Amino acid sequence: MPPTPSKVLGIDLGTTNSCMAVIRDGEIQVIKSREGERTTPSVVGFLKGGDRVAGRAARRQASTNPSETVFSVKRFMGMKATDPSVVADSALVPFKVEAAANGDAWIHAAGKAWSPPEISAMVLAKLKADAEAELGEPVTQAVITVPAYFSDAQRQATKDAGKIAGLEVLRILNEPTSAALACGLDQKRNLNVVVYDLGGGTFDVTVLQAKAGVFEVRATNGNTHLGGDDFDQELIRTLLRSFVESDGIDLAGDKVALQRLKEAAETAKIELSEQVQTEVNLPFIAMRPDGPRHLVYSLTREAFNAATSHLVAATLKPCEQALIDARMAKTQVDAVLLVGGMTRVPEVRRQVEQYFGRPPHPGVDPDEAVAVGAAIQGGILKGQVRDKLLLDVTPLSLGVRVSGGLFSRLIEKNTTVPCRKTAVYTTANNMQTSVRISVYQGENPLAADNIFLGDFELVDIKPEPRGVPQIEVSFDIDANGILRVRAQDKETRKVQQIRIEPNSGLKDEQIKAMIEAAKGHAAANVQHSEAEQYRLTCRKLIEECSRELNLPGLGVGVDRAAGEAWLNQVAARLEGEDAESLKASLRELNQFVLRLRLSRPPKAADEAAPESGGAPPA
Amino acid sequence: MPERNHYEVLGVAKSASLEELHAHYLEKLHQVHPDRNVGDEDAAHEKTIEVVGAYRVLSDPDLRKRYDFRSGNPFRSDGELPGVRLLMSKERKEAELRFAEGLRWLKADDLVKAVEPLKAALKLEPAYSAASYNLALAGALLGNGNFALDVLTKAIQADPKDAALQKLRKAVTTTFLTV
Repeated sequence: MPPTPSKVLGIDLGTTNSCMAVIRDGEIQVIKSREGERTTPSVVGFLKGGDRVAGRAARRQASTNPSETVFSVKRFMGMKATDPSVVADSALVPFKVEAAANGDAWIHAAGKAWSPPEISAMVLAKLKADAEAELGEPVTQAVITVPAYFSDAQRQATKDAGKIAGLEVLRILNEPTSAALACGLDQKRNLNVVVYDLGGGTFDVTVLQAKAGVFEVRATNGNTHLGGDDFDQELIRTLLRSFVESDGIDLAGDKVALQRLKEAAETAKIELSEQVQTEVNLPFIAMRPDGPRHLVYSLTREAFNAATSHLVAATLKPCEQALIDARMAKTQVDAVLLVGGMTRVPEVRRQVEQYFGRPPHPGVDPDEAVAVGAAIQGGILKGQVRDKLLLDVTPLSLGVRVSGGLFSRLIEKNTTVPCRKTAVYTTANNMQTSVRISVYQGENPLAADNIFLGDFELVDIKPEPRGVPQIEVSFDIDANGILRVRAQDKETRKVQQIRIEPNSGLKDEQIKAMIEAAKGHAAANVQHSEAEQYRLTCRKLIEECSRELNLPGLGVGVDRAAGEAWLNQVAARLEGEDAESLKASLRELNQFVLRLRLSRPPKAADEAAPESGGAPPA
Repeated sequence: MPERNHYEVLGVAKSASLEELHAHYLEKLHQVHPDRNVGDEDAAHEKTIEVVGAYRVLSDPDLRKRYDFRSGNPFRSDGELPGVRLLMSKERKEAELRFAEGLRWLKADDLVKAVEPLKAALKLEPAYSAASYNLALAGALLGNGNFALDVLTKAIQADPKDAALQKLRKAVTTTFLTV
């Protein structure tokens, strides 16, 4: 076995740019790319001949190859194609975003569908190769950062990306916490720190307490879909409007023009951080029979601020919530760290300073702090850094689905990890012998409105009248943020447990295939057709309907026999149906199950799942 | 594995101030955290959970108050009613069953679910001291000191000699009803 490499690469895998750092001879260093830059664009370009490029080279060819150049893929990591933010984002990018068999948002490029982790892996592979060239030794271990507000699925997708790129991901670390770790705040005195992180695609705010080398996160909040890209889009909209006014031409459908506009908007935004006025100059942006047209637009910082101040204002609400959750007043904050390229924008700095009533902490490099913190965490895990320790929290509440589809929280958001919480539930029906434990993540009172993480069944419960069995459910989160759920019937001592694997991540065999493909081998891509997906969902619904039908206390106007017969009929015809008619069946089944539930007398309907309620003393 | 006392876990005295608690907490974390014990993560995980859990309770004045109250006033499990079992009425037997059910939920740390069976036991057998005791305890821990006091006052009227009831009433009054 080769010796374990001593260097852990700290990687800030950003929406627009990535950065990496490492501990070398006891010193923390940012590693430059082979092009000599301290950050690398998170861009992948698929070239005509079948080759692909990542980083600066990919960015350089973007304007001539817009539909085959993928950027901002972080916005799609671990997301469903139907998610409103994905729908909105995919309308704004020149490449195609489509739904994969499992409903995930995938990217279409070079004639095939790619999962977002695969695209991210291409960026990571470029970083890894550059780091190896710089360090002169193989790099196989990494700490990768993600926005604090990333869900489990998004974290898992990031981990998958590392795996595909050939990296063992020792830890997924939250970006703001990582930045705090990098800022050398560990003093004897207790310090309350706010990290305001506005990057290319995400916004995060974290409130933490630093003392004696322990960085203890108190609360975190944010918006996974708010960042520099949105500022660019506002500018693009302004430019598009102005061109319609001046030349009567709408460039919205022109991919090449859009890509040029995007680059120009980004440049203008960056220039306006330094100067109060800039000019957008795009010659030959459109061709008309009477000759070429040019876009020339003069932009002031004031106009830019006016067009984007609502975006800045939108970041202050999460700040307020985080402070409330941390039970901290603005006046108790000792330092405000600004991280992420967008915090260079004067209007952002102004509003944040005004909000917290203090200037930002000096000496923070907004582009590099996160990667540096990741390298430090790598050092902690390797025993090279002994005086620091990070204590993070769960960004979202975790719990199970109980009677009436309600969400019963076991672990509240902002709970310090590692942690374990236990709750006891009981059965809803007499002589019930099994319960389904469905695990969700989120803040909504209804389970279905939260993110579904996984489920399992505890069987062979001793048959007893309802309310008598005691089913102990415990949630256990380790330092890596991995959730394990365990259920035990206290009577029979029977235990059932699962490790929650986020369901929208990739399957192991898919990842294996992608690793192979990334190494240069071809891999077969197993995919269910659209029709097959509908068919599977229909079958699940039929099972559910028949379960409903067989529950005691069937509602008025529902005939069990007739219902069963109809279900059999639908089940029989599923095989021969195409996607369209399967969709129709799916609708019918959905309505049927809804009708069954609604027809039930309210009390019985309430007891279709494990019960958790009970009246508190008057 | 019997649960260790939160104060023992953090290595502090029962009278420890918030600052002392925090200092000990950070020190313990440096020792037990999985990131400090690579290769022995599972044991470190268990220890860290214990430390984090202890600090979570003791650093919150309200939770700490309840924790102290609870460790000083354990549940009563002496639920058997006096009398010859064979001659016992159906109501009394049912009351015992309901008491046992309530106790089971208390032991499972689900106070809310314990309330209903304990109330039922008391309805069947109004002079049921152990049921009154446990119901008052659950009520107090759920934040309803007045309810607890009500239950206890009635129970003491029915059985003035029960010392445990008297002791609990005093504890409820000093812990939850002093301003």
